[in-house]
Amino acid sequence: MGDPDRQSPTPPGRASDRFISVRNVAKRFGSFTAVDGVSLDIGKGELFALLGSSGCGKTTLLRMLAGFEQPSSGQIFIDGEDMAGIAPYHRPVNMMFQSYALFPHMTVEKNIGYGLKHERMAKSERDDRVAAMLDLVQLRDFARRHPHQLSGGQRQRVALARALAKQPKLLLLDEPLGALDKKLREQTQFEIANIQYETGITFVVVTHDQEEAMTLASRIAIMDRGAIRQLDTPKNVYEFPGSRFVASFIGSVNLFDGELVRIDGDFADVAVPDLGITLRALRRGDLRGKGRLTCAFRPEKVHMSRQKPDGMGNTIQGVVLDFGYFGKDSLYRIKMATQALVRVNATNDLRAGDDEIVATWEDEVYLSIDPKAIMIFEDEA
Amino acid sequence: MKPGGWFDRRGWSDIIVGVPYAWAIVFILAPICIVTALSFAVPVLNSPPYQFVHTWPFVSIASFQRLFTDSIYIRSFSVSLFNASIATVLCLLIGYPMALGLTRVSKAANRVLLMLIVLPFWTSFLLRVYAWIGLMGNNSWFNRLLTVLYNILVPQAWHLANIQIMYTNFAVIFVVVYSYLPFMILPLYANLEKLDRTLDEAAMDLGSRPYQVFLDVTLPLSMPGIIAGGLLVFIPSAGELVIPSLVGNMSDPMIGAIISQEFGLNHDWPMAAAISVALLFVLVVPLMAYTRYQSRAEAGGAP
Repeated sequence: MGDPDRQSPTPPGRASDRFISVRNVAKRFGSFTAVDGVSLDIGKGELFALLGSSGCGKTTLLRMLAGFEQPSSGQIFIDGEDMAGIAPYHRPVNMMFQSYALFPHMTVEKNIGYGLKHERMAKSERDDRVAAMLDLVQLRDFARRHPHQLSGGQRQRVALARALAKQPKLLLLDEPLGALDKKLREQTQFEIANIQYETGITFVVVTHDQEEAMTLASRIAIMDRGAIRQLDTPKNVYEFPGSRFVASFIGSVNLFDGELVRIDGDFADVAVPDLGITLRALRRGDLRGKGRLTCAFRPEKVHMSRQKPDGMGNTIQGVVLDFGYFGKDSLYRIKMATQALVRVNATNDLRAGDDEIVATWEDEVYLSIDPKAIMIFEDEA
Repeated sequence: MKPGGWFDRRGWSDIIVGVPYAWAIVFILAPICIVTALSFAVPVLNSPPYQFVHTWPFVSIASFQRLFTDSIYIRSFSVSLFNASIATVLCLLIGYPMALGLTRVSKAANRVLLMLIVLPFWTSFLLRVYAWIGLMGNNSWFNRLLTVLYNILVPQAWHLANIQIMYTNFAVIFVVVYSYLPFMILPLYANLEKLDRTLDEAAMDLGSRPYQVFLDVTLPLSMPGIIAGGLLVFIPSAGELVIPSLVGNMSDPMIGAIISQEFGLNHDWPMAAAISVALLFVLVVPLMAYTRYQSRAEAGGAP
């Protein structure tokens, strides 16, 4: 999980721009509905991410933006123009394919210049554009190579340069980092964000990787079964998920069934049988009355100590069942008296070996959770 | 060596590699050597009807000299190469759309169509040629239909009673195209089927209309298939013997008929061998060009 506060250098797009407007778009393949009435607006120069697991409809939506698929119903506008019936080769949209789809029989510069071939453009101007693109992706020395002579990261950059060469109004990126290894991925995602900032082109990224979406995008649409479940900034999606689905999809989370006991001003008290206590949580504006609901809190928002903390509410006692040491942090699984498991993320901010801090197997620990860190969902799954 | 293990894995792999080599040596290399040797002998009225020269330089190039001076050989060589080239181009023009179509239809349709393409092989090749003879003959319904159509299209020739198809070069090319078409389609299909369709989408995304996608992406990437199919049609059709002798113009023969004549009728084995060696050279040149193209492609360009 990446740091949710880290944002791309792009200012969040203003949805009111409606540079790209998707209006109630659905796509059906036979009896299967891939995209089910999606509406969203993307601002000019925004870096927008469609996030979801495979089969959620994000790729179909992307292909409809590119023009490879036509919506079964609904409309798509790009810069105010209705895209209905407009062929891919007439759209001001370019795409970076997941497999990169570089032409194997063309050199790097021919690949990058391919899209310019069909534009009325002087040869010198075309060469300048290709050279500028090669500079942008730092592949000047590789202009005469063929794709199969390049590394995975270099191919990815050729694909990006080729898609950018025509200076499209909208650039679509299908799992742009999917084929790269972890080290390269981190570096590349900042590169993509910087290139987006420099060119000012609107980017729509499709990904199943939440870290990729969160670091790249100014706004994220989380898709599930053809519909958008939440559309917000990376920080809000993580800190204020609108549903139990989103909370468990983004990052990891402890989920417990509970029952609303009472509402006390800004707080709500929820009895959680699995934890054996009544949790005090920040009340959500729309929460009323009594009933069953879900309590959720993120593992890193739990404070763990071996001494009983003073004066803190929401404190529960448990035993360390096991833990995984990841270097910068550790993930503990704490067993409650009720046999329920709570996952706790503890930062290893002191050198390991310091017995006073690091809990180990069978240690009795106290967990305390700030009421503000507890999320309440009524959409019990 | 392990006791009892006189025959180990190495032994097996030697045999497996060795069998095709042995096959190639016994049935390809050795006959070529024999034919080449024969071509430098002189014909005699004896059995066997040839004799090697016993004085220095031990070879006679008389057959090759005749080959390059007698116009009948040069003429039949050009007829053969002309027919084979036209047939190859026609096979490509007919076969390419079919092979491309095979990759664009549903799985079920693909299976049926592939079946239909190889189905003629279930019938004897000779039977199929004879069927064409029946169709092309001057009194067949097929010929009459063509004649009527021709007369309607070209009214000046209204008096035309029938079109002479049999015993023409046209008939040879026609039947060769018919017979060898699957050999063009199948390698082309194997090649086109492997192509990544995302490349087409990428080209389209970058502004290419479908015909430009074909010219820029599909066609260059299918070059290995075109060359493989082209060779499979060109090489056997250049040396074709049966089809021209059944439907062709025997006063303007192809090289296969000449070789057969020299061997059988004229008993001039060295001459027949010399023509065969020359034909081998003519056909090996394009094959070598292909191998060079392939190795160059592997080294630095197309897949």
